[in-house]
Amino acid sequence: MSTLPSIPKPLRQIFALFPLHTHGPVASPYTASPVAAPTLWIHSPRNDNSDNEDLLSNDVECLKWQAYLALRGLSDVSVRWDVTQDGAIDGLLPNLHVPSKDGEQGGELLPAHLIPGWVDGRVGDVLGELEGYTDIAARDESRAWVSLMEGNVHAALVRLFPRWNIVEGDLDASFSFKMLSQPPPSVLDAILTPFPAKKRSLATVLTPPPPPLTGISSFIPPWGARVDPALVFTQYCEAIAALSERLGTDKWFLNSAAPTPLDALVFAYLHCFLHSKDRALRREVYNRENLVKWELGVQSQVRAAFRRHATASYA
Amino acid sequence: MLSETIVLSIWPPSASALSVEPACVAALFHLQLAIPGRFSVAYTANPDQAPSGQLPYLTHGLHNVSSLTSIVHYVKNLPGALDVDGSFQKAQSAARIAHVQTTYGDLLTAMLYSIDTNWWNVTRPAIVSALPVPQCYYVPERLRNSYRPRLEAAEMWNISSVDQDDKENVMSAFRKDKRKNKQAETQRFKTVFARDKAAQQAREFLSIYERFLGEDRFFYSSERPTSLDIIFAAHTHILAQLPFTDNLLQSVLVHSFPTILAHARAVQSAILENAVPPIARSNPSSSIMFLIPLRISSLLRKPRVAHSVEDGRYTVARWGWISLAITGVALYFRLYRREIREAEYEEDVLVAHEEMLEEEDYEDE
Repeated sequence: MSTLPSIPKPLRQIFALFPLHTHGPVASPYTASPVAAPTLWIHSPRNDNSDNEDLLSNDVECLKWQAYLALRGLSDVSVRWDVTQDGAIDGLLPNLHVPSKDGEQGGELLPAHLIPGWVDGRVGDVLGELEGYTDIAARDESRAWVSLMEGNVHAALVRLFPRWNIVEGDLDASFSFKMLSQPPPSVLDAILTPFPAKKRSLATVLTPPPPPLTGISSFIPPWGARVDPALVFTQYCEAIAALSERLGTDKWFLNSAAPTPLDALVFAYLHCFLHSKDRALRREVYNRENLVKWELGVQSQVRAAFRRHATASYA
Repeated sequence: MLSETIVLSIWPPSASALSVEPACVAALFHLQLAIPGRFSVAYTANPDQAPSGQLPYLTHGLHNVSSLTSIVHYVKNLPGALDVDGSFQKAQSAARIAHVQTTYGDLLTAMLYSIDTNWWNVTRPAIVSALPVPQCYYVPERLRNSYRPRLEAAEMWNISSVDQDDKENVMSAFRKDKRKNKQAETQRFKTVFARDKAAQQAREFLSIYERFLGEDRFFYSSERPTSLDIIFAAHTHILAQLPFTDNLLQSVLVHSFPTILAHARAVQSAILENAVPPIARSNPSSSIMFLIPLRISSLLRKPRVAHSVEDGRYTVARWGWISLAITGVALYFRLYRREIREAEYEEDVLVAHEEMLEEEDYEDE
């Protein structure tokens, strides 16, 4: 700053009475303890009986990434579920905690969308441009299947299954089958929980977005979402039928030679539906023998890749 | 049942597009292909009349069917309807239809509702032209907000143009002063990046379907349009026909994918070549009725149903029962009036006696 005039001498003498000290860095007691193996932070698994521990998450998003890691060939990945959703990056689980390359304290925490890049770095980018599918047509078709699963099928999971889907987070006791709305948080809620869990609401899953409960032309301000559960269920049944027909007797979807991200996605949804509390949803998948057999086969492979994190504290 | 007319209610058309929403255009195409000449089209801008609150919906006598999937199912079961799909590769078709509805739908709604200039110059006037006076001020904004969560999740909400000239076109009639463009540099970069990403997504999606279409006229090398053709062409039709002010995605379609445009034209000509469906008289119902979110208008205008013999018998029985009940009550009061009165008299006497006793006690004290 050569344009500024220098400080006059008496001021400089006064300032000299308050010298600037720079202290060394303080080791914070809150750094994460170093991890030896990659650890996946997920929502808690089902664990109905205490002696038969299940390491597969209850939540569809976490299960998708668990299946992805397992099917890409990784093994010996720890899981922990004592971290709440607020502690994750962007408020969304799953996150992957990897030991850093330099060996420094703490390691690195990756959000979900950076997991494929990390896996490529670890296992090598063997999939290439075709992402593991047989040809470009199969890859294009896989995009269609992904949008079908994440649209109609996810809507059935979210809409007809609200009490037990942690992604929704709406554990309202009066949220019965008949109640169709997801009200915005009240002032009291906003004070008590200032960082609410991010929810993937029904308005983002359904196409076209559902109209408000109070009607779009009325003077009452719009509130809630009006969803037809019968329609959602019909679309879900059609989607499952299409899935079963496309799988046929193949080992992996779309007749791929090796497991692909689409297989991980489909496995996650099928697993959640087969263990859902809603009988109608469960029955729909149960009736398709090939889907059930396929899911069982993939399940054993996915389970084998995970083990429980040793030092995490479970309340 | 066949004698009653089938009426399809959809959003009103704009410019040369058949309707503003792709599901409505797809329903129109589907009905024209399956049951040509047996239905009529009503343009309405009041989705609250529909059973599910969304357009398109179909009325057939006393049946109401809403949403595109249900309409397709219903029409398939009508006698004499043409089976549009047959048993044509149903599984793959279901997945691709979902893909088109979600991804192509997102791209289209981003063009219609997310970009400010398009919203003010194209979409909003089209909706407002069909709405009566109180609703035309607040309903379009509500519609736009209903698409917002989905577009924000798809990261296609902030893709309005950053050019100064385009911003000036957005001025509404009430604002006379120039609004200074206070966008920070980072915000401009983000918007430009989001626009590029949206254009890239559109390009990828359309190239997938260009490859799938190949050299054929319709998908799956079929001779006539299937459901997938109808839904895909409905989206392309709207994207190509509407006169967008900011044609971010329209230019991608028009300049780089001529085969897809040709496909949409082929589907439209194949379906609408012979006849255009008649337009039903859209009832100009009063705007006050729209304010109440129930379908009271249908309750008030109950159609007169013809009385059959059995209906007459039931009516006689009903009125007979009511009259019997009333006469029974009247007889009871007539016959036992004296006893009732005596009972009341006794009660009064008892009460007076008690009061006298209380007074005596009081006086004694």
